[in-house]
Amino acid sequence: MSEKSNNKLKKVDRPTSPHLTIYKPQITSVLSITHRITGVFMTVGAFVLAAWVIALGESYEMYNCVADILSSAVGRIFLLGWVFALFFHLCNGVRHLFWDAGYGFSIRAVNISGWLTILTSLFLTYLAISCASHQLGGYLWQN
Amino acid sequence: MAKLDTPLKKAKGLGSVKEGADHFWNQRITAIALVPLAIWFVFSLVKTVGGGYGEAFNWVNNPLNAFLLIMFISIGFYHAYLGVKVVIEDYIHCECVKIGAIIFMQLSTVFATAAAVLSIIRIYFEG
Repeated sequence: MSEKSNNKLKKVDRPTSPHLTIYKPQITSVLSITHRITGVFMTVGAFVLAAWVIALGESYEMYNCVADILSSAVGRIFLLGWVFALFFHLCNGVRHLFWDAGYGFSIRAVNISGWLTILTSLFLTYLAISCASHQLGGYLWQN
Repeated sequence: MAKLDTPLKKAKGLGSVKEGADHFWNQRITAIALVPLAIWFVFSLVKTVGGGYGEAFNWVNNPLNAFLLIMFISIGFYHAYLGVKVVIEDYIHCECVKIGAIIFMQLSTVFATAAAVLSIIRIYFEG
């Protein structure tokens, strides 16, 4: 390609691949990007888990400091987010492992496994949250 | 995974000449290990909710919990590093920022893993 035509092409402001702004959101694409977002979000959570366990080993005061932050309203919202992220990433990860093994590539199969991922991760999140709520005597947001 | 590398590819520097196949494989192996570990982690830790410092300390002080928590944290951080590395490679296009971010991720995950594992071992021996 000559220098001249190359310059001409650069001036045109064409939409760039993968055309996220004009593509209709589909369960396959939405779950794919959610898999990444939950993964990155959980990486932050892993550092918080490390801080929690380091504080637990260090001292009673330091543990209470971390525990106070985590049990605040904002802390609980983050914990809920991490629990959901974990179960979503886990379920969708199992879906990926099936694909890696060569199964479930038809449109019907990816749609069914996609909805199964959403339902299962919501159910497991509900289960974990109700366990936590039960531990606190049914008052998850007040105690 | 070494079988997938050919001498010609190595010489020419094309394809997965770096560590692509190993990366793919390690990501999957750690994923499989994390399935039972993650389920155990949530439903075991949730039982200590509301118990304060004592309940949390006793949870880590239990030999099985200490072992599984070390496994979960170390495998989890490695899996996170592998995943975030791909995200960095996909979205950061400036080569020096990309390399810097990957090095930062690698060092910080190793540092956090070591510090967390050491803390678990301390709690385990304090009991």
